[in-house]
Amino acid sequence: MRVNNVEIVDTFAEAFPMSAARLTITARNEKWAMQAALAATGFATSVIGCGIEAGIEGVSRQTPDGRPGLDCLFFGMSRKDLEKHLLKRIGQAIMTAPTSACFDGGVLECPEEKRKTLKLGGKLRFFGDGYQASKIIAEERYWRIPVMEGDFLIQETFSVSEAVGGGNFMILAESADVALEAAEAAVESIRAIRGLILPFPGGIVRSGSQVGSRYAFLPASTNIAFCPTIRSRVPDTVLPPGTNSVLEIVIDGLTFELVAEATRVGIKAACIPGVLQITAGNYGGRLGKHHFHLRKLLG
Amino acid sequence: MSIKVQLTLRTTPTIPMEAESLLPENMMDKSKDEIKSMPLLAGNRMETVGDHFHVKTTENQQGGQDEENGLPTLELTGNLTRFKRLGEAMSGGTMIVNGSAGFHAGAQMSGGVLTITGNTGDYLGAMMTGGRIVVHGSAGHFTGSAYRGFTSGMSGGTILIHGDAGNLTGARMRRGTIAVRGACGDLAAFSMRAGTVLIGGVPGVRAGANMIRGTVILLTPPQEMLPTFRYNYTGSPSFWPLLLASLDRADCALPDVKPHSTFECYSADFLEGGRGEILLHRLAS
Repeated sequence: MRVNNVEIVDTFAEAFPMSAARLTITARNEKWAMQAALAATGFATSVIGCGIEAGIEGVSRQTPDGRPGLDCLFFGMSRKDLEKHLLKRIGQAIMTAPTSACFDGGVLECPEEKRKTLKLGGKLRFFGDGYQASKIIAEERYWRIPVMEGDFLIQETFSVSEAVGGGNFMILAESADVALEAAEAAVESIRAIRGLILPFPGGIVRSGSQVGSRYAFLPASTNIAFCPTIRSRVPDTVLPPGTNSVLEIVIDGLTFELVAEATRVGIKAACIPGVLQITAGNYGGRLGKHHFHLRKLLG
Repeated sequence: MSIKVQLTLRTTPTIPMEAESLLPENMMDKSKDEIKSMPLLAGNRMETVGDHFHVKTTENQQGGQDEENGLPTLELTGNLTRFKRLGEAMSGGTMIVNGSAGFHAGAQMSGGVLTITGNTGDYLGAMMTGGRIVVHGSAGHFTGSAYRGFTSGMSGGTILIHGDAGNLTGARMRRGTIAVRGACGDLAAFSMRAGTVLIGGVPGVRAGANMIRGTVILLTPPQEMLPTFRYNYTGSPSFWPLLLASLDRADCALPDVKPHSTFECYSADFLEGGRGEILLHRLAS
């Protein structure tokens, strides 16, 4: 199969279930909402090294307090894990940002039976050292934690749902410039879709990983089969002749359908002259239950 | 599609009526004749709904919330000031009183929406646990408060009063919101445990006296601040935009205040530990 003369490999991307929550971060103006969101979603590219994957989804269409806000998505390997990391990130990155407040953005895209709640404000409130106070407004409980600037407002509970993490595709190109141009085009088209994030810097990964390594202490190492600089030394390289650079797009989404749609539009946008092949990472179906067959998506 | 039951008062009774049976849930699956034969206590004499009201049932094509819980909308029209306990212990649905209501309207209600276009008597929403009461006129004393002998007043829900309210509004309340757009009598939020009382007009004396926790918001300056209230800071409390928006959504907009209005904030009442707060609108102060 070819799209714009780019070969689409007959393979599938393998993704796995994750737990996801959406936080709406508001502040006095866009600048401080962005500062809080950047800090909260920083260093959250991969659960392998960061424990959590996160990104800014976009500008909130409507915020509970009417102030400028940003929706951020957070993905963890389990609900418990997600809660642990969110408590740290809200406490250290959002509460510390001037004028900020934090609300549940909801995960309405997910089926109702998969939705649960996390008590985040209800646990973070103890930072108030006994001076915290709650306020119930329109059936929803909020906690007001006194801080030096005024008070930090946070919703007591946040929605969480089973979601899909690790959707991916790889762009094999004749040069690093072409690979980057194609990946940027893919990112731009995917970012139009709400309900998902591209957790890596600028939405692009240059250092995809393989499971395990020759070192006992290292659970993941560089994806040698896709590294052009060592192609001749790697017996099972998958790079076709003429490939000199590879970039990967990783997608975390609230539902299978969202990740599938993002993969479809991303690949279409990435098929530009100089791109030789589009493929995807999988582990033979052993790692994750969500499989995105590239040719089926583009068919 | 849902059912609408309309009760129109024939003549205003001269003696008090016990009207706690007039609830949306009690009208469910009842024919017009069955509604007419429902008992109604007039003084110490048992009479029927049909003795006092013209009864009409119509199908409401618009549906809406009532369709979801299957409860009919109940609409009463007339001068119902002699009718006590209208909407008492209501648990859901919509009840509209086109006119004024007597004592105990919406007392102990746990859900649904009770709208009164006129005035109400004392004990409006007393000890209610949920739902919403909207009064387009004024309310009497003890709105949302505790009955004598009880330690806690309303513990949930919302009471919105477009006019004035009497003394001891929100006394001993422990949760929920009371918003009075007009003036309020003395001792508003007296000994409140928690919750929110907002007064738009001139408050009576000693608003927030003996409060333990909770918030009293005064948009007009009081005659005096009690010496047991202590000033904390001037600023915009973080929850204020949310509260204002929720009042706006409930058709109780406050045009003279803004989402980021400034308040003088006091802790109150230090006779009870000072864990409550009084917010005094900056223009008011």
